[in-house]
Parts: sequence; C-alpha cells; structure tokens
Amino acid sequence: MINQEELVLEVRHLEAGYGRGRKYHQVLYDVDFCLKKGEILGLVGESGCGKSTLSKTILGFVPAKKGQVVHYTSRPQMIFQDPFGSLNPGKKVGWILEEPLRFQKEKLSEGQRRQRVEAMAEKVGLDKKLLGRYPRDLSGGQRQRVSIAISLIQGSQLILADEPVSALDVTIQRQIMELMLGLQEEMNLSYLFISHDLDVIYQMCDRVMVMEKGRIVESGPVEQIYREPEHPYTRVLLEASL
Amino acid sequence: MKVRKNYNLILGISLAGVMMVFMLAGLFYTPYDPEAMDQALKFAPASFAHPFGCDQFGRDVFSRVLQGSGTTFFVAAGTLILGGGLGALLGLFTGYFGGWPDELLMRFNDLVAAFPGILLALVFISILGPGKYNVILALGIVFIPSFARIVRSQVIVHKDMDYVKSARLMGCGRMRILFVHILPNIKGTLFSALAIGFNNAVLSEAGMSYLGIGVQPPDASMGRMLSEAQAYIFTAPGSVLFPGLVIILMVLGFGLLSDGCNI
Repeated sequence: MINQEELVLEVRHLEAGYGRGRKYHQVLYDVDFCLKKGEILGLVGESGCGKSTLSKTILGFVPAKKGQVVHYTSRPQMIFQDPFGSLNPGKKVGWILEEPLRFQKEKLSEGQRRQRVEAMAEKVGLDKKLLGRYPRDLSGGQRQRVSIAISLIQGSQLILADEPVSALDVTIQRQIMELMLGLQEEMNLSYLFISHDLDVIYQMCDRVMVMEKGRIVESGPVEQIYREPEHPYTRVLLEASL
Repeated sequence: MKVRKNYNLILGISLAGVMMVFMLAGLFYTPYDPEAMDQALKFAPASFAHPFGCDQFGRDVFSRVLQGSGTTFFVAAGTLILGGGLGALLGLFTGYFGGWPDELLMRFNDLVAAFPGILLALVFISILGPGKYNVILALGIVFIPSFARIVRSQVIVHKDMDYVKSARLMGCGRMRILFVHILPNIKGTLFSALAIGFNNAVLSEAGMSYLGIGVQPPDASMGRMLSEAQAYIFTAPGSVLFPGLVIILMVLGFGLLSDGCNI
C-alpha cells in the first residue's frame, strides 16, 4: 500500500472528452494512477492518444466526465510544449516572470518581487539581461527556461511537463533535461513527464505509463518496462524507437 | 509594429498628423468669421488674405474649411468613441466568454451587415432628425458590429493560445487575462480598424451633409460646402476644390496609417 502522505496527485477512474451531447467524443477511458512526492512519472504514447488531454484534464482546462483528480499540493503547474506560444509575446520576460507573484497570498513589494524573479532566473540558468527582453528575442532553449521558472516561482511541487523538450534540438534538449533533473533533486519536485520519445522518457523517469487510445495499457518502473514489455503495444513502441 | 522602413506608417503618420493639427485648429480658431458675408468678395480668387478664395456669398473658404474639418473631426471622433469603444468591448467579452450572448451578437451583426451602413444611418437620422450629435449616434450604432466582429475574431485566436492557459495557471482573473494579457496583443489590429473607421466616419459624415441630412447650419461642414458650391464649379472652382482636397488628404492619411498599423 502506498502511504497517503507521500502522494501529490491521485487520478481515479478518470474519463474525459470534448464536445457535448451527440457530438461528445470521448478521449480518456478509465485512467487511474497516482504520483508520489519526488517522483518522475513518464507518460508515453503516440500522437493523438490522449496524453495532452490528460494533462489538460488534471489542470481543469477540460472537464472530467467521470472519476476524479485530487492533488495534494497547491496549484499544479505546467511546462508547455511550444516555447513560442506559451509566453505572452507583448510582455517582457521579467514582467511575465513577475506575474505569478502578483497573485500569491503572500503580498510582496515590487522590490521583493524583482528579487525573487532574479533569484529564480539564476536558478534556471537565465541571464539577468534577458529579463528586459521580449520572448521573441530569446532562443527556444531560453524560452523553455523561462517556462520552467514560471512553473516554479509560486513554489509549486507538482509540475506537468507536456513534451517540454520536443520542440528543441538535441543539445538544447540535453541541457533542459539536466536542468529539470537538477531542480527536481534540489526541490524534491514531482513531474508528470509527457513525451512520445522513449529515449527522453528513459533518461528522465522513475516510472512510466504507456497510453494507447486513451487507456493506460501498461505501467511500471522504467527499467522493467523497457526490458520486459508485456503489452503488445508497448513492444511496438519500443521496436519503433530502436 | 515596426516603425523603421514601414513607409506606409511613416507617410500615414505625417499626413494624418498634419490633418489632425488642421482639424484640431479648426475646432478653436478660424482667421475670419466663417459666417461673415461680404458682397465685395463674392467669388474672390485665392490671395494672401484669403488663401482658398471666397464663395458665392463672399465668405472666406479657408475659414469655412477649417471649421468644417473641426466639425468633421468632432463627428468622426465621437463615432469612434461610441461605435469603436462599445464594439471593441462587445467583441472582447463575447469572443472570450462565448456562449449564447456570442451567438446573439453575431446574428445581430449579420442583421446589420445585411443593410448598407449609410442606408441604416439614414434610417436613424430620419427617426432622430439631423444634427451633428444625431449623426454621431447614428454612425456610432452602425459602426458597432464591424468593430465587435474584428475584435472578437482576434480574441478567439488568442484565447486558446498557451500563454493564456499559462496566465490562468498563474492565477490571473478573467478580466486581467482579457485586458492585460490579450488586449495589448491585438492593439495593432484595433488601431488599424480605428484608422479605417475614422475614414469611414469622415466619408459618411461628408456624404450625409452633402445630402443635407448631416451636420446642420450654423456648423460648417465640408460635405455641405461641396453641395452648395457645386453650382458654381466653373465660375469659382476654389470653393469646391479645397474642401474636396482636404477630405481626400484626410482619408489618404488615415488610410495609410491603417495599412501601416496592420503590418
């Protein structure tokens, strides 16, 4: 039995989809899992299988039709796939990073906010000079660092990462993954790490779930799934990535 | 909006700026009384004392054009504040929240779009009666749907973008997302629509005044000046030429400005 204290996220028999009435199109079927504190859980599956829908349902952007989502931490955060669309093009990076601090319960003065923004920028390896620039002046890797900083600045413990490195080239991928792993260790974060790339999942995750057509068909420790895949779909995925 | 090398914008800003100064000046100052008649100056040609010449009653055309453009500016600005303001607000809210108010607005839009705008304005004027405030009201109402539609379509594009989701996760309220996060990103389109709307208002006002149902005396209007002076177009071309020229420059300037904003 898993100790309840250690959980940060519990998803129970979740079903969700888009549209209403006769146009309803179900995407997720009976998704059931939990995420422990300090764990990196991978979610793998081909495009269109419902990975992103799952993350959107957990965050409340898509309503759950059945089942429930319980998180035991304040405000789960998300790192988006497209680092070009996830930052407001009309605002400077420093302003964007400050925005989450404006809605905290703890009221901060402008100076305190700026201090925290600078501290967080340093933590994610972002040059202070970049805070005065617009997102369009930043590279993909730098933008993704900004996204990571946004997700962490309110002190969230649970981060959903929806293909956070898929839009980046290989060397930058490496850097962002190392950054995420370093931060996870330092702050004892929990990640739900979504990817279609099995190599990335292998390097990042403790446990992995395989999703096919909205159902989780197999889950377990990464080593075990990669060595002895049980479900035929998992085998297909693994063979395709070799 | 990049200002450098955007010649439409540069030319538009300078031309619209000059016309703006002209119009604003017309609201407060004219060299002669625009209503003062002088038989001795009837059809006087252009001179230093009267740069645009004088009309059939010996009134100074320059003063009348200046005052008329002031009136035009007043009407166009009023129309934009009423039609553009309300339309933009409606578009923001219906685009962002969707649902039945959105449906209702769009059907109402279709209804209004089915009539030619100027015809609809004429209907309003025939109910309300002529005069510059009624022109503002009529044109303002006619302008609401087009602004609502432009802003709505932009808001719909932006509200599904990841940066808006990101803002929601930060804990931003809906009003803050709408006015602080989305609105600044669609201001280019909005400015462009406002500049085009200004042109349409200028032309509509001139057209309505030309027909005699727009701005009423004693307010001077370039549209009415054109209709009064057209009988004397060969004897005294100045009193037709100059009001027409000013309207053309105004429309050209704001049209270029609109093009420039849209890039």
